[in-house]
Amino acid sequence: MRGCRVMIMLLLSSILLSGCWDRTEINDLAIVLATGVDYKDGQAQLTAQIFIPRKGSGGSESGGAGESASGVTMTRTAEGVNIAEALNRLQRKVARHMFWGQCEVIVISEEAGKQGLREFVDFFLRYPQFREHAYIFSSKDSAKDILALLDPLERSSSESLREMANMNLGTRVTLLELSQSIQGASGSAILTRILIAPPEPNDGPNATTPSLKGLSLYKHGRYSLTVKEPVSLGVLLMINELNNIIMPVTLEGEKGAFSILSKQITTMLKPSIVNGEWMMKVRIVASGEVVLNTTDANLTDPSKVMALKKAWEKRLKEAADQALHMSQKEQKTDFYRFADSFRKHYPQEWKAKKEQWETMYPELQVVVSVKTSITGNGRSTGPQGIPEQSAN
Amino acid sequence: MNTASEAEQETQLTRRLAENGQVLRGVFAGCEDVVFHSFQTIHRTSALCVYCTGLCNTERLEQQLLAPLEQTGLAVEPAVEGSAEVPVASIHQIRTVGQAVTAILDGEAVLLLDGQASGKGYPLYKVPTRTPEEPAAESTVRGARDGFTEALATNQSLLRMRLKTPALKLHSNTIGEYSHTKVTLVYVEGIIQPGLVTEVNKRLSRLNIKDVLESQYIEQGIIDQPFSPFPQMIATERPDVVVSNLLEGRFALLIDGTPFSLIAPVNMFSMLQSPEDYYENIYMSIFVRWLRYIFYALSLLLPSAYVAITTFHQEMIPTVLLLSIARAREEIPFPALVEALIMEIAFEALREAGVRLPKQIGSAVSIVGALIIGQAATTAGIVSAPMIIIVAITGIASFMVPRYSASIATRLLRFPMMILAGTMGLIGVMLGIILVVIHLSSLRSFGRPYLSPAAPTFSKGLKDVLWISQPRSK
Repeated sequence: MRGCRVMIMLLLSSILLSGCWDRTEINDLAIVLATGVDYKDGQAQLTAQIFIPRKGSGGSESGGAGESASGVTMTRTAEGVNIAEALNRLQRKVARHMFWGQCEVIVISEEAGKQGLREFVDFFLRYPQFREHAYIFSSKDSAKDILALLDPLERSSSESLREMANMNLGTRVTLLELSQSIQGASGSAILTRILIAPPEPNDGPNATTPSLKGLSLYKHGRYSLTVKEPVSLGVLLMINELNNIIMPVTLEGEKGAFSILSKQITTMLKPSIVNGEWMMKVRIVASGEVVLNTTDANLTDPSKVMALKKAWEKRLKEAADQALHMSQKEQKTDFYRFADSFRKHYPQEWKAKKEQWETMYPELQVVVSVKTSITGNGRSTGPQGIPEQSAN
Repeated sequence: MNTASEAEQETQLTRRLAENGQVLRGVFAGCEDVVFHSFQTIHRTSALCVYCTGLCNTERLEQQLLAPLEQTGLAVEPAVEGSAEVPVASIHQIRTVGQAVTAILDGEAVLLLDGQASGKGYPLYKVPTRTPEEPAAESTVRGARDGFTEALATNQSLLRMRLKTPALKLHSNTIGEYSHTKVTLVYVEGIIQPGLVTEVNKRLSRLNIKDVLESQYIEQGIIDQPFSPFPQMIATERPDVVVSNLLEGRFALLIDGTPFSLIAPVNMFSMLQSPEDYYENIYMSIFVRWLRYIFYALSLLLPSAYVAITTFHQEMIPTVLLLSIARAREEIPFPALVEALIMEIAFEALREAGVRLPKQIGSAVSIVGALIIGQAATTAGIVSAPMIIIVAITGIASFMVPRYSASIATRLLRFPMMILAGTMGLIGVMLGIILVVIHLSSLRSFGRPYLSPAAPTFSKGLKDVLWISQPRSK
């Protein structure tokens, strides 16, 4: 039984190794749920939102003591010449091993974005613990303040942010996607921008939720501008991220308006080079359902539905054109990654014209075509709240 | 034979009754239960009837043997062989002292007549036995309710009842220097792999043990690798399981004195199959069988995986789950490995305590154990609640294995696995799995690879492993 003896020897010798090596009990970890990056006085500032295991314990024992799910996180901040140094200093302020493996949200303030995202992205991807699919947000206020929020609804503000990203309310960019985006041919990136919703008068200053508003656009990996509605809708539409939106649509010759809940909006980019003429075809296919009708029009009438479809198409096209105008004429930056699709479809031509892309882009011909369908008119047929006869 | 020497055994019986009687009395000196009954037949011939009181049916002895000889004179003419007048089945000749001793100890009545150099053995057995009952260790919802008993003859009849074919062969060996236990090799001719019967007989004859109190005594002596924790024979109390395995080309050993019979050659997967798999709806059976495979793996790996992941690979746990575990573990003074070892050892102790105690107290132990370990230990902050869940699931998983002996291996290997997990993380667990697989693939059960149909693969057998083949359609 030599095999048996070898196995026993192996097992016995491994006992000697326990206690050392890289064992870390969960009790010795400071679990970081969210990371914030700020830039202040020429120094990078790193903020970690750390889970406090004790506060949340014994939910059944404290039963009904009025303690909400919040209050289970704390934040710690440290500064440094660069983000790596800040992280090193941060560890000195926390009595447990900082554990970044569960960090699912990274907030980068616009101020820090102005210094360039590349440093942060490189660090987050290089440092062993960070998750590649952590969601990235940009914030108007300092990231530190956002992480300090104690959402009354969720366990922590990082949880709220993660849920919001999952609902597709903004762009939902992960760390990996961000890095691909700024390293891509167009070198631009679009992040969801978060604000702090003002707290209710009776609550403390931190007892509120982060809210999503607008988009932060990055050019060459640096923050360049913020867009808000209505332009931000067009931007989302162009990058095929517009979801869950209720759009008001007016019909010519009718008083009042319809509101359409989009079910699915798909945007496809089709580059074409014909006779050296570069052109981008943007095809938008949308389907939606009417959720509000303040006009007198009855949607059981097919001609009205046709008219409504046309009106919605026009509305979407306007939004796309608006976003294109902002990108091509005002910013002269390829936010929608047209460069990537040209590179994919025409690798040879792209190689030849790569250097001129910056000058070519603002003059690039873009054709937007929209096709919509109204799949339903909600649970009611005719307009509600008016006498039957007058409806028509 | 311990009392009579080799020479004595071979001694021929003589024509003088007194001499024969003396030799036998010498052999059975100090054996109170052996009765020497001297009498005269109606023909005035001296006769000696020797039998063992407990094993021989005295009523029948008196009515069918002694009465005819002593009184009615139906009588045995000394010179006549066969004695057809005595209404007893399968009478046989006894020519040596050794044969006489064996016959008496088997429960036969041995009749010696003066002037004859041979006696006769009358098998008037009265073996203490019980009626077949449902086996306690292997109950089923649907299926035969009879189980083997301690009496070999009953067990043989239970098999014959189910296989009414001359192809069912039974072949007995006597094993045990003191116990002289009858071990019957059972197989179906034409289905069993050729050569297997000779191999088994060879191994049985090589056995050199004093007694056979349980089938394990035999199993330990004849299996290929006695030092493996994995069972290489199935022990079962159920005749239907034996029959089913006989028809799959295996052999069985029925052992006198124990209701457990042994089946071989087996493989890993037959350990995880239950007779019920074929008795119930096929989809349910496939589902249950897969559940069993999964839980068999869990019963080996779950505690070690938990230890490895919580002490080395925290990033692998979903965030919300990690936060729950972190909360539960916050007050726990022990490392996860120590916690797991404490709980697993406590669980095994509890299990052992429950097995040994009488039924009424046994349930009390499990209640106390569950309360103490499950409730008090978590409230006191000595053990975390997730660990209790892990240990409980592991316990349930090991109960799911239909063959008790198969769950022993995972119960034992769990501990080295946990230590590997606590020292090297998932790499240690992988190392442990690799060692176990190496061992399993080198294991043979009577020459058949232990992991066969899976490795070496043969698709026809694999069908019965992955789902269920219809029961032996022709």
